[in-house]
Amino acid sequence: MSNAAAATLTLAVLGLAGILPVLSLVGARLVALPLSPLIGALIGALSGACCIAIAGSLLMWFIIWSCVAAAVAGVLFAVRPRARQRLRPDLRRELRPTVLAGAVVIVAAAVWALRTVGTPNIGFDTRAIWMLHARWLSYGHALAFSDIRNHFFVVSHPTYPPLISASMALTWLISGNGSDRVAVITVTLLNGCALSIAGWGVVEVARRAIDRLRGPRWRMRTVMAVGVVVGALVMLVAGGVLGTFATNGYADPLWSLCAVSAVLFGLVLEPTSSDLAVVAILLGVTGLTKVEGMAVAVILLLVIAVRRQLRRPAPRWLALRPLLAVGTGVVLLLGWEMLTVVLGIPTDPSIGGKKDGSLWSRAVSTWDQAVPHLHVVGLAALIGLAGFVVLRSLRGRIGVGNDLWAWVAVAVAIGVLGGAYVLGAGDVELWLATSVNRTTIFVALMAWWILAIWALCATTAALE
Amino acid sequence: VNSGLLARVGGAVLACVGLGALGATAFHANTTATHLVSAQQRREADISNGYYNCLEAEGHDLLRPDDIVFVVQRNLADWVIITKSVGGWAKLTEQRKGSTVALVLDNEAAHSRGGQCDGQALVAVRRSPTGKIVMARAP
Repeated sequence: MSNAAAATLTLAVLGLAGILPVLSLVGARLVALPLSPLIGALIGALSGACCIAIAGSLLMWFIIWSCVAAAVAGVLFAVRPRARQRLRPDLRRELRPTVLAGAVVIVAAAVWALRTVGTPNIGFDTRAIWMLHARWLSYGHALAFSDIRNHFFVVSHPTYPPLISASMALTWLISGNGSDRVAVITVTLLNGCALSIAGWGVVEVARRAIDRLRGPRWRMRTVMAVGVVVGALVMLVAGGVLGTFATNGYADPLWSLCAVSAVLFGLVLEPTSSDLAVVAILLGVTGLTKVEGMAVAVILLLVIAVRRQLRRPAPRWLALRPLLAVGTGVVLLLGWEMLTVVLGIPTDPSIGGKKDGSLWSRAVSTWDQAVPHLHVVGLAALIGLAGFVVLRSLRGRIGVGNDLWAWVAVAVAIGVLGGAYVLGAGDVELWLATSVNRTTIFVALMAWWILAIWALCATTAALE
Repeated sequence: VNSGLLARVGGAVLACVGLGALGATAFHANTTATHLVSAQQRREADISNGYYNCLEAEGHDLLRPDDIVFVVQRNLADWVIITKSVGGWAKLTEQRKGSTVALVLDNEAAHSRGGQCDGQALVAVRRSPTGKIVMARAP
């Protein structure tokens, strides 16, 4: 089987595993289509963890967990008949010609942004980390359990979460094509799904704005068209920010794009229960893709929870169900790291060990090396400030959340990601030189999306 | 000042700045992507992939399924290359004691014989049943 066919088959299988859970949680929305393979990848990650920790093969666990997920989705449909009845009208709403046309543009932008997949690049870390772990998983429990605990491999970060490696290993097991390249194409396709969701988030903002605006039909159509154009443009920009990492098997694009989408659906939109389900899935993928993603996912979950708590009508007592949901979410996000402790997997050298240099010198180095990747943050802040002064009332009127929430998420993420360099161990210069161009991706993308939302709001205001 | 007019004018200015920044950067990103799909980039990627495929094939030729492989760490780069090439399936160890074979990356292979993998080759060092040290290259 050719590489492209094998990767497409894997995406279809992941999508099949995820389609019932996503329909039961999110409903019949277009965003469910790219979300399905991401849920499938989440099921793959869970299967990878079981394969390492318990017994058996990755494929066996993937089949078991896919069946369990489908059964749970069936039960959810059975106990919530309204959710089942809403599928058809929701689908009809999503299949309007203007919405479909927007979706086609977003998919085309994703394909264009990721066309570098034509170059058969396989990244340094892809071989040294993700593909290495994927090979272990593809051989089943005995080798995976033994190698992940082997101190020899400590530099390959064995504590990194298993989503990318499990997706690669599933590609080999499902398609029978064991080449390195096919695994990288599968990761690229997952990146494409995440990028499409992030671009579609901008279109969703335009659609919600149209629902709240009054005026002639041409204005509504223009706002929708601007939403699609802005969504597509910011996706193309993301292609440039991600560069070669988008298509060479690195994990950073996937978690960063999913985190950006989680901010869009959880903090920029006024989230419905369906949006919150989208956020939960995206945070799951963010947290199980890389350690940095896990930290950012926990932060985003807490920020979204705080925002929802503050928006509750008085009296604002802490309700038990949301509190339980957030607590469960945090525990699940930290689940893999807790498992690595239980299994005795050697800790990453950047976390343990001796620290070189003072805190101040490490902070200065971190600032010096991170800033060249983050110039857009300054531009987004300026536009955000101007927008706050001029367009604040319109933003509220069209149901777009206060920009400060997204900035809080960005600020805390900068604190955590930057803090790791300052407080971590080892030679910070080497660490920064080999990673800062990727750890800054989330912040840079977030700044571009903040700017894009303001551009959409500003155009809507200009059309009034 | 009429707040509606201020919002419209300010919105128009901000829309121009925002859309302009997005459009210009999208154009620049497109140029970067065009460079990444150039024939030269493809050639370099093919060379890199061929190099690792070659070393992995040599590893399969040199190592037996039950081997415990001691990786000779002359430097971090060699160590990483060997790990990437055979770490996915071979049992590797950092302890010489208890290993059945040692694996070395010969960087000077181009000047001697072999050196099929971009001038480099894997060399397996093991003790024969008669007690002699035997060095082997992939055929």
